[in-house]
Amino acid sequence: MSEAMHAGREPGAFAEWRRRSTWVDHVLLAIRAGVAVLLLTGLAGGLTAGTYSLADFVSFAVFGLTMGSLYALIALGYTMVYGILRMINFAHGDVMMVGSFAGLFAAGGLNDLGLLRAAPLLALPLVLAAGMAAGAAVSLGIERVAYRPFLHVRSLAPLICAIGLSFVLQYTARGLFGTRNRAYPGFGWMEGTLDLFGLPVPIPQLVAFGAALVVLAGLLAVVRLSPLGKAMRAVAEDRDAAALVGIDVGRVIVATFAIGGAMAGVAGVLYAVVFKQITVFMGFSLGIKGFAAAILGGIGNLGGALLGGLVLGVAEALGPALVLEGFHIPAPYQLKDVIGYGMLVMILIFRPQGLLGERLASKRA
Amino acid sequence: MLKRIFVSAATLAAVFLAAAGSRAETLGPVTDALGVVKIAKGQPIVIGGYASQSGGDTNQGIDELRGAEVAIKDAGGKVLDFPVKLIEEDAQCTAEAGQTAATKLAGNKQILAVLGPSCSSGARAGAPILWKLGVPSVGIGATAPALTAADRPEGFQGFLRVVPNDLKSAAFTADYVWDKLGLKSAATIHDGSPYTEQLVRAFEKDFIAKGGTVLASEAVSPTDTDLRPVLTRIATKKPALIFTPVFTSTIGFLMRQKDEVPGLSDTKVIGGEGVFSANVIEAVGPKIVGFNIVGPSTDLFSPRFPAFVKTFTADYGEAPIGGFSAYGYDAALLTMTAIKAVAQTDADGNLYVGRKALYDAMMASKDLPGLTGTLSCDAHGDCAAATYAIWEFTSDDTASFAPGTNPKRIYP
Repeated sequence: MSEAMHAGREPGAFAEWRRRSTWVDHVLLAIRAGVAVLLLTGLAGGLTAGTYSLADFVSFAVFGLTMGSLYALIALGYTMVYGILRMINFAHGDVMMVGSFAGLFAAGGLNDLGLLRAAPLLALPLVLAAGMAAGAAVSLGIERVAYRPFLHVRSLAPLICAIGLSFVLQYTARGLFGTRNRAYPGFGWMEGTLDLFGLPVPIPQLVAFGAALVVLAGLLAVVRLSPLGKAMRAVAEDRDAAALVGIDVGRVIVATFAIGGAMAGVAGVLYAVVFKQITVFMGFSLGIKGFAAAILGGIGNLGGALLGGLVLGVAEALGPALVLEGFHIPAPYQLKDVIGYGMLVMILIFRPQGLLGERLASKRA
Repeated sequence: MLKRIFVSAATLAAVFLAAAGSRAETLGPVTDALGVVKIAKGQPIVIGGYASQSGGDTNQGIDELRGAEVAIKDAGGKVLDFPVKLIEEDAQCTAEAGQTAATKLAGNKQILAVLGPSCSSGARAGAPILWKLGVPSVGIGATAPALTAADRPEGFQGFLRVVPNDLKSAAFTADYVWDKLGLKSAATIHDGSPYTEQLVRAFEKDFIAKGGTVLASEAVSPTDTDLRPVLTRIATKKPALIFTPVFTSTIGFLMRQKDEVPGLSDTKVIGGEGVFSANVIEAVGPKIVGFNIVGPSTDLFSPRFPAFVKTFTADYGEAPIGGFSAYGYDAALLTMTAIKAVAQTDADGNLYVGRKALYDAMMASKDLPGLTGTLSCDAHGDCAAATYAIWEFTSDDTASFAPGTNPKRIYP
């Protein structure tokens, strides 16, 4: 019995924590404190270094939001498939690459028809539609080959199949399109910058960010409001129960893959609009970033995918300038990924369910 | 007691193994410290080749090995009446792929020497694997200074190269920037690969030695797409020049994003020979016009080079890019010449090549009339003849790529 109890007093929260905690809790607390001190030191150093102006930081943040919105679009594919099948589709990044190439060829076709110049405002939606269609089609193929045969089997086979399909997609694209970097066409009206509160922001960034948000809002509306969305949520909650109440689970899974693939296709086209060059090998690293965003936000949670993507994008864009710069690390941008993945590791240690958590899992619990 | 017996046995075994490893091998008329390769009459002389056959540097790698194929064809496909067979592996442009390709080649005990790889990262992993088995390799694109440095580790002793050491490229670029352009300050960007990092370090050293100031030494990752933060950081230092020998993707992003960063529109950018291809025109787009790179001076190669280009074009249906194919040609030429010098036949017509003798003959190459110029190897394996030039792109039409016109040589 503690002294406090002897004295007839209730033990304090800290004393109670100390009594209940193990050495693991102490180590985790030390890690938290260490990370917090490092972050604060870096932030203080970065802000006082005076290397960048406020406009530079805002510019980085705007770009981070753009990149983050693209990560979010990719993350949605991971999170939707995981939500329904509890499996990760590791070919998803390459679906994005296919969408990007479909958009490239659509733009080429529109250019040949003269539509790219005659109706530039119409061209982008058409190119996006081509990317979405290709992404959805390839994603449906992945579902058919890598997931449907294993629907009622608990194994890692779908995961391995998806990794294999990732290579198949990459090297098929390599055979078809070659390995060279391909230039994406401009859409005329998207060239140049727009003055936002005195800050020149490249129009492609604004278009990509805006388009990503519109698509994300549309998807959330579908999932929340439509009968398909209701069925998807029911299947995610309990596949067997959903089947018992008459939901066609197979069709819901197909629809989920199609929508996820379409989102990846949009991301592929918007990525190309911002960066203006694509390669057949670009899907892997972007896919990993999208996966990280999904984990960060809470895989299985659509809002989490959006939040995770944005947080990851902004952290990558601002982290080196704000934190690493403070430690006078030479060439801090080479360590950009350390910020993003370091943050992911911290989240996994201290909040394994992600920033928003997996809503379905918590409901089940 | 048991422990003592075990230790004694292990020591004895180690001594036997060491003795066996250092024992010279005799086959037919040849005795050689590193072993002898017997090529039975009618069988081919096997040479390995590893270069980038996939990934972002495919064009370069394919050209290099095609150049070697043309050299073999020019030799009538034979050395000492034995047909020459080139076994090709994909080294991409990574350490992992270089290691894999070298391991595959090392598995073939008939291979006398290996041509390649295209990149220093692959050479760093692959060359020691080959040399461990007594197989010398002739670099055709690996330019990092450390590979032929005087204090290089034992594993790299078997590495030679016909492509120039980056120390030459760095000194040439520093001369151009300081003497010709009169620029006093510079920033550098590398991508973490041995080639780019060692080249910018050598450039920085030479530029500072001339009195110049290096205001920023930045690094990006090969997969980075957003270079604005790095460029913003550089812009705060206001350098007159950015020297960045990174590869096609990165140059594409850099050149497209450079003008979006305030303060960099007048900053000159000089790239490296890794982007000496038509693809960089597509990657960079309209901003390629006026972009300078430092690269081999193909129009100062030997007078045989134009005829080689014609043969190459006729054989493969497309012209070679830059000078990479010529390095492949010269690597094969140097190797075949050395084989010819040391190989011996027996009464039955079988051919024998001593590995150490072959390596010594390759290292002793002097005044060999190569395609890039006259090849002569120094004590550390640098055999290159090529000189450097500054090239400037004149058009953003990818179909117009033709060294001499687009890009055109502007210095010397």
